[in-house]
Amino acid sequence: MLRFAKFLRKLEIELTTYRDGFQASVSERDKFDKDFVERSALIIIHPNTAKAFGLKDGQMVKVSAGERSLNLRIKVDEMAPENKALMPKSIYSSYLDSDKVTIEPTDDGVTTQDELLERYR
Amino acid sequence: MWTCTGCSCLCEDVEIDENTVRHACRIGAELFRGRSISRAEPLVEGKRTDIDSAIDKAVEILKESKGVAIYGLNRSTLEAQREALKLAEKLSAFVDNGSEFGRIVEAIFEGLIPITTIEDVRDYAYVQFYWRCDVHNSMPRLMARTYYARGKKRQRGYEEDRYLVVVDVRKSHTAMLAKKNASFFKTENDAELIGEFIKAIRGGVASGDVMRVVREVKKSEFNVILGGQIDAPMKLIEEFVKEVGYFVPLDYRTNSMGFFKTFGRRDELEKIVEDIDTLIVVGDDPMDDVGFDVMKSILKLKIIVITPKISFISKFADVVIPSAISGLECGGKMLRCDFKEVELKPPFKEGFSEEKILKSINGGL
Amino acid sequence: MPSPMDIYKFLPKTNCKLCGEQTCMSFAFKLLKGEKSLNDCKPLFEKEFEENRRKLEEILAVIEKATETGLVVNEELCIGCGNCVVVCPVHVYEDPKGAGSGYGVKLERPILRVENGRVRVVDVGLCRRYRDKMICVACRECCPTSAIAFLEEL
Repeated sequence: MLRFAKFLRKLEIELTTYRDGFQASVSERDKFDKDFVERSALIIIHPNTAKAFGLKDGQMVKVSAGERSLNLRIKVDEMAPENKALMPKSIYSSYLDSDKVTIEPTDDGVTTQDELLERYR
Repeated sequence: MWTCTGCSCLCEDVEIDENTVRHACRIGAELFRGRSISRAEPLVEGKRTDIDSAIDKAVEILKESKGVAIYGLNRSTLEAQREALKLAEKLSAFVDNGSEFGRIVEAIFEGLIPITTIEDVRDYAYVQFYWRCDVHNSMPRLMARTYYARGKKRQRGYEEDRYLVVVDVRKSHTAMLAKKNASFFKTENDAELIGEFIKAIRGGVASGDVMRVVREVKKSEFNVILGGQIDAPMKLIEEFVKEVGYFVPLDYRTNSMGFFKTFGRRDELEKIVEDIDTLIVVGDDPMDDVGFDVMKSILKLKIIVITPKISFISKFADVVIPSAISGLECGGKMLRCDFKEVELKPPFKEGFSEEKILKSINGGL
Repeated sequence: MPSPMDIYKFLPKTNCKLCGEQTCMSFAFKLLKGEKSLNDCKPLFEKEFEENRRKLEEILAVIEKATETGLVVNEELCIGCGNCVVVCPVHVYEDPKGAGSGYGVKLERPILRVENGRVRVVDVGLCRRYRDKMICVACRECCPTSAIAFLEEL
């Protein structure tokens, strides 16, 4: 199978965060559960942004801010601003801690809590 | 019926039985249902110990420390917050709850911004501005209690008896609710839009969308701004609220208003890291809120964590002291987002309250 | 909410017409609307489609529960805000002090109730769509996460 994703240019985009109720609810239950990753390791982009850059809902991307990067899942949703990417506020967004990120497709799996905590050690 | 401490709505109508939590939103339901999952244990330097030894170790660390900050306290009762205040006074400690509402709450305490309650909004408010807060996500049941509910003078339902205004930088879930008898303003410039509203209310001319809302504002004596992260000079916000009617600060953090009432200030953790060698975390997890670089510096400090559940910061703590979940496992009082005092009657009795733990630490110092 | 495509992909796709429809796609549409049932598709009950049939039963379970009023709730998308419980005109009339005033519904058998943080259909018997054959969409209008839908609008 051809991996068209490989030929995509990097998308540079502003990043903003919001409090997500679903994320808050899994956080309330257990921060070390897989549901926490599912609801936190997300980057949400507007359908127009997704179309312009050939990004698909559910696709894995590497999101970088300077030297730090995370593997996150793309969610395409019109609740994101058209010119910015959106992340639920959590340790994932706080780790990136940047109002500008680059997004590029990846074949790697999502960054887990343990991997993330390791980077703070 | 029990009170949910999942956010500052402090919903008092939650029913529980063995398998079901009724009426609470998803956040509250998980607080109740997940109560016994991932609970913290007393730890000293990562090793399991008993709670008294953990408290003793915390006291030992605090006796040797030269600069202390207390972080969190948003899930703490007023009683626990008062105990933390005593501790802060004893240690000349910094205090921070991570909330950005300090400035506006100060103006409220000074009487510069008139406030109202959730019940009065429901019973009387016609135009309701939800300004820069995606309340559907952060405080999920609030609009059911303020906007969708019928009230004493608002008997005909939201489509006729209310006018909804949502202002945000994006089309949030809350903005998607602005349908009939409603307006959504997408803006990055709050100050400019507030300026337009003030001008129009005072008889000036503004854009058609603003004029439409202002016509609605003039129809009623009781209108309200429910405000989140409004990005405008305080003077302008004060003027705006006075023209519109009333204000309710929508800080989702459960007892954030209690924190501000108890401490009267907040010392931003980001700015004081250099001045401390010990951090006490009560109930919150700074790793969700604080950026990486500052967090790296924090993790070099001595860290004492008082928490009901295993958290990210508890993984890095020198001492972990497990606590009861406020409102579910121990009682006390909290302030709702609108400053109404709510008495918590816990359905379960378990563990040590934060109040008791902080009192023990105070006693040991 | 399943789309006709979600259903079609598990059908035999042979357009055999045994169900009385011209194509499997139109059969998928009718299944969604509750006008046909899986039993009408004979080939599905052959061994080779066993796995597909099980998948379809899962997909359709949620719809079958709701066919009397066409109300379909997707609990996974629900945040439990209770807007729908509070605006429901029947709840307001029957329970003015509870749901009507913005609190949890106090009726023993309400139409909708938030349980474990998600809205659940308890009893459609009271729903105006069922009782009075009215087209009422009050509960869906105040749901921004599409957790509530009606079959006729799919």
